Amino acid sequence: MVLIHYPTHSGNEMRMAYPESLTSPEVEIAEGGIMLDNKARFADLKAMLDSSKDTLKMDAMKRIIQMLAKGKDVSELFPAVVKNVAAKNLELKKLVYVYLVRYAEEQQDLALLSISTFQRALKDPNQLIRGSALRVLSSIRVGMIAPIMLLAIKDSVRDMSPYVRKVAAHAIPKLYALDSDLEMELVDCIDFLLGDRRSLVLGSAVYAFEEICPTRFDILHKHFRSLCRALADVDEWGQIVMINLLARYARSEFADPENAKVDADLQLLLASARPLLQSRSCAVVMAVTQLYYHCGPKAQLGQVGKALVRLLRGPREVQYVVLLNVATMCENQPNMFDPFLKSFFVRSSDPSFVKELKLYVMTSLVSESNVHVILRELQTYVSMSELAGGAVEAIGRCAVRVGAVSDSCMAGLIQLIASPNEEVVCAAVCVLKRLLHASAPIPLLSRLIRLTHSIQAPPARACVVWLVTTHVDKVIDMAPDLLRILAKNFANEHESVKVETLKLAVRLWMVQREKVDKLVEYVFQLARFDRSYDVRDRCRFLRNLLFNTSILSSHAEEIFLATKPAPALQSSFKDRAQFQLGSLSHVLNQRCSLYKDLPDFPEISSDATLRREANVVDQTQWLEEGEEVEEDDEDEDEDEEESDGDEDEEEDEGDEEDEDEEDDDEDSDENDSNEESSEESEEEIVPPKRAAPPQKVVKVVQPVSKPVKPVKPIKREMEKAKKEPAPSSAMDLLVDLDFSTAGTRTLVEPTTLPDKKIDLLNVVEGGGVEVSLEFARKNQQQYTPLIFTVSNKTDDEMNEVEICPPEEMDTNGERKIVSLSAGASVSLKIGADFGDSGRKSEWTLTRDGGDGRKIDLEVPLGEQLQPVKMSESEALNERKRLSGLNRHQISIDTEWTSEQVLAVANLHQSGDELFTGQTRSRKDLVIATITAKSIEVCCDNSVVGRMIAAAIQKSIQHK
Amino acid sequence: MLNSLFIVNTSGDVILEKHWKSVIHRSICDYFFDAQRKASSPEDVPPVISTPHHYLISVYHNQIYLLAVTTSETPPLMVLEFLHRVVQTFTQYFDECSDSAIKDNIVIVFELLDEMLDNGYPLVTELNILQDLIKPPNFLRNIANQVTGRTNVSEVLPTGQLSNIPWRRQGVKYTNNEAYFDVIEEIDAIIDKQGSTVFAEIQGYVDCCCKLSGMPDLTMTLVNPRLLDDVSFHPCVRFKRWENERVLSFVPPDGNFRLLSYHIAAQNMVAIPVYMRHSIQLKGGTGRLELTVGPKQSMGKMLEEVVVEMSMPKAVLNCSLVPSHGKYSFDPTSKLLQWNVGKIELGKPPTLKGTVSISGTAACEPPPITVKFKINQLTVSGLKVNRLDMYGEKYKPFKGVKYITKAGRFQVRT
Repeated sequence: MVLIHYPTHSGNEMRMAYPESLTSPEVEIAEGGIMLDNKARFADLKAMLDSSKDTLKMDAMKRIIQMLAKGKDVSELFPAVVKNVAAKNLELKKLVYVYLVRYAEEQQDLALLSISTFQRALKDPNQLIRGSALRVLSSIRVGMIAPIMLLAIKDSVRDMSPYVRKVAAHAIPKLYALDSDLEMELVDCIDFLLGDRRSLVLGSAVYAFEEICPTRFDILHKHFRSLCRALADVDEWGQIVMINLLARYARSEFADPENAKVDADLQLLLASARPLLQSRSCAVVMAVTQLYYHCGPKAQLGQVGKALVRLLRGPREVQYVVLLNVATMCENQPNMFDPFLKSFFVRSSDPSFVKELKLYVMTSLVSESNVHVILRELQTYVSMSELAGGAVEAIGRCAVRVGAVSDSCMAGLIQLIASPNEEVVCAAVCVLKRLLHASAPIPLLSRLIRLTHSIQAPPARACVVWLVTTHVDKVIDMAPDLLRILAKNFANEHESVKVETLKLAVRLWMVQREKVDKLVEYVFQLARFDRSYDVRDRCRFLRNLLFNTSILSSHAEEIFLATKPAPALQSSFKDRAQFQLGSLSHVLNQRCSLYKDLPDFPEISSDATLRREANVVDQTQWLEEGEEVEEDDEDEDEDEEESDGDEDEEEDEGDEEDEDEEDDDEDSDENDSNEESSEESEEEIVPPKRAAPPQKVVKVVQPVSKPVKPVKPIKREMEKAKKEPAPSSAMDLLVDLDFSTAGTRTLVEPTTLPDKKIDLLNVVEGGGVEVSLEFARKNQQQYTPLIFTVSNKTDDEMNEVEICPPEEMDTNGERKIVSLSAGASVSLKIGADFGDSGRKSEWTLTRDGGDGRKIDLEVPLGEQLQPVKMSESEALNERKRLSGLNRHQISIDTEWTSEQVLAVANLHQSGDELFTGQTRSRKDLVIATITAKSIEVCCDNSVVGRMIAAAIQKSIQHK
Repeated sequence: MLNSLFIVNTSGDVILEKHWKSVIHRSICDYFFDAQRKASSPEDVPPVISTPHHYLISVYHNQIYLLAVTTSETPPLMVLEFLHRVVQTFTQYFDECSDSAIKDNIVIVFELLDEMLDNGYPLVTELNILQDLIKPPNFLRNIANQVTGRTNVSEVLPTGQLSNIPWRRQGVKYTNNEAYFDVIEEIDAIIDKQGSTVFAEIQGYVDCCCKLSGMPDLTMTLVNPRLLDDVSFHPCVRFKRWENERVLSFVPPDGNFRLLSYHIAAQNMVAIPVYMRHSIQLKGGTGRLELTVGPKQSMGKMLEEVVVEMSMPKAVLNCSLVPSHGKYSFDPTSKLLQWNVGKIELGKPPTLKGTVSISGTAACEPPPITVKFKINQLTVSGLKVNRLDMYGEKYKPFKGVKYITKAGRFQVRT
């Protein structure tokens, strides 16, 4: 290996010849005195970048990145670096990307050179390469490529890979920052992504939503429930953003849970968020807390306290933010943290900002029952030097809050006046001033007057003078003496003390004019020529008021001797309450840019049918055991109740019953942590779970309405209409909608059922079990319904026979047979989401908890379709759209019948030569036009199109 | 979320800057340095600072600050959580997150930051995936890289982030399959002058080190799961199973991770395993100091690694003390008095006795005493692992559980 020596970047050069750079003004100071200008150094790097050896290039790039990280300007190397954008070496490529993203903005023209590389990579079969290409492409902040980015994003949101879709979601805000005119198109993309079934994508989709259209709740309605259910599975960062969004949504859509019954959807949101209180991420816990605080009924707030207190064990920065939020909550809900009082005790190792907040929280928790504990604790703090001032303040707050102890507090404070610690004395005096506003005992006042010699801190002195002024009639003998003392040293007093002295002078003059006339005159004279214009000003004002006008001076008593109300104790956390908890604005107590106010609760909740998910259509049809259809209908009822139930109660007694049931439901929801979510997790997070054998398999898995992608975001106005085949109760609400346009994607029941039966395992392979497969062709959302027939060909009974799908596959339905007697056969109906792929999947058959036998399952794409009814003209329009790569044509020479076609592809015959359908998983439209000479299949997913065309051809030719 | 990140040290140098959106000039750090100057100690710098156009959110760790800059409303805890996650990641990669570690590995740090955030929003924060993307440096690999010209970036495309179990790396292989669990409990307590407990609670963790091949699915049952009433989990734990059956079921990440942490609150009675007697007088000229520390309710187990610390007031000049056990040291600049007692054997309890010289005549408040200790093979709450089962893989792993009780924030007031 050749070792090449070049000057190290770290020291021995000095920047001279290089023109003043934009980003780094600093100059490297030479250590050894050798000066090398940048040109020469960069020439060296350039040569290395141009070399053919990867190692040299790597070395150069590493040095460049090192300089970049230190904030030095290396933009000059841009052309040399960009040349390497298509490098084979992965790390080199990565480093080039990092560099490119950093400087593309400054070198727009040159950056364009790299674009084609990324465009090529966007078509790569490997999803990670597609993803990273999109990521870098979208990070290049060059306005000119906005259209290219838009195209790439539009393609990628429909990508097969959820990873690419996630990256696409991230790209949306980047493009928006580059060109905000594209909002319409991007919102469509977001709408599409929000319907994604993979939780991986959802978190990022919500982030994009928050960045671009945070107030477009209209597109959120139909995703609301699916988002709630997905909450537990989204990554931690997504959870934070999602809960914050849903909280705002809840505030704008649901009635105040304090005044009205808790809306079922709000209940769903709260129940889905509750388990996240146990998250390890403090931000998630905070997000749930603010959701319960702002949107939940007060009764449910109790459970969040514990979680928040747990966060107090976290790093100091987290403690700070959490304590700020706790302080605000205490203002409104002091009971929430009562049981955790001791967790707010101060330790000497806490940083100062935490100590202060803990003290504050402690005093806001104070009540008759715990005041003694708190006071004892505060007394300990008084002896800790840095906490002393705060502790004294806190004692004062306790005295105000709990009347019963105010006397003992006072006594304590008075003792503190004698403390050797100056800071404590000052704080004590200031607190006393507040407490003694209304009435002050004479001995105390006299003691305070005597203190004027010893205490030096201006605020404390001012407080003493103020107290004497206010209660001047009580210490009428001593007050003139105080004034005399103050007058003696008037010039050296602090401004605030001078002003207070003037006030005392005025009051004394009013009460005992003859006695103090001279003294007051003297003080006024001093004030008149004071250094501070504030004092001079005050003096002039008082002079004129008292001595110069007869009109005003006749009212002087009313003006100066009026009793003032005691100042209310206003906390600094009161005004923070206007901000959403957990937000930056709340922490800083100022309105940060892009802060979105929480809307006020509306009078009544918005219509629950709005939040009905698109495409939940076929759910009822697949429910064979006659389980109740949950949720949707109930919502309906409830809504009606809310709107008319209040008006006359006598009329609908039936409704009342309903309501009771409803309540029961809710109770049980609360108790056993919500049925819905438990079912949901059963289904959603299954893969790893299913691998665990000892797990109790739920007997009947209820299909829960699933987040399903809306078919086409462009047709948003039709979305409502698509719910047409939903249970009839919804029909009434949709009566005045025009259904003529809604026909585009009407799902119909299949007409032909394939009679073929595929043998998956024979007796020998299955060790006595025979498994065969049929296709039910039923409509069941994204799931392809499969009927496995499992036959026991042995003479013994078998227990616990189970068909397990591959780990990553999303399935529903019963997949376990508890016992299978000899010779019997049982059909298992399983719906599986194959993700529109004809690839082989590996299923396993397990028996008696033993080892599994592999079943290779290949479901023809034709069975992964579902029939859709469509008019010929619509089909023609769609066909026009699907041109080029999306269209496949095969010529044929034999006669054909529609049976032949329908046998291999589950389509609907919409015309003589027209067959229509869509893929189950991603709802891509499939239009097959078969004439005497050719088969032509158009499909959004070109692979599916090609495979189906081939399948139909095979079926026709082989007849 | 984030616009930029600056890593600065306590002496005010910017070690590294990384921008995810348009570049923000490093002069923004001046606002931070101002706040730093105002703070009396590096830990007292306020974590959230507002400047005219930017908001600065920082965390302090081991003499460096990670300083995040954002321009708009963003949940501060989200940023703080992320920054702490960055610190953890660096610690795992370079064994420590410090000024020199970052300077030595600046390219890897830069690459890591680039992977962790996309446009300022977290993209990949799971350590297992990051390790797939960028191999942690180690000595052997450095040499191998030098010779073969290879790099730290893995050649294969990582697929971890595509799976349903994003926290676990795929294709893990070990010759010895082992899983170790450390149940660690820390006692946070405040003991008052008279020796009675003002406040005591337990903060517990279950830290795991899993070196298991393939995709193991573990199930852990506890003898007394009811103890865990306030608990937070690693995302790998199936929450529903815990809710319903009180069983911990999870597919573990590869390597070290914290499975769960729990908190047993102040309402419960916590047995304090150590007592501290003290008599301290710090009056002008010379003061006297006498400390005695001994075991109490330690359930037959030995107290180990006992350390007693006091941070003396400024006026204290020096100490001349005699310990009956262990060693003591006093640092005249930081004013930290540290007494390393070590193991406490049966018999006479260790004492530290002597005089303290103080400048001036005024009396000083005696500082609070911090006590550290460790007890092996004991959990003070009584938590115990019942059994651990593994499914999904065929081999028999080696399993080990260790219990430790430690002092957390254990403070004795004087």
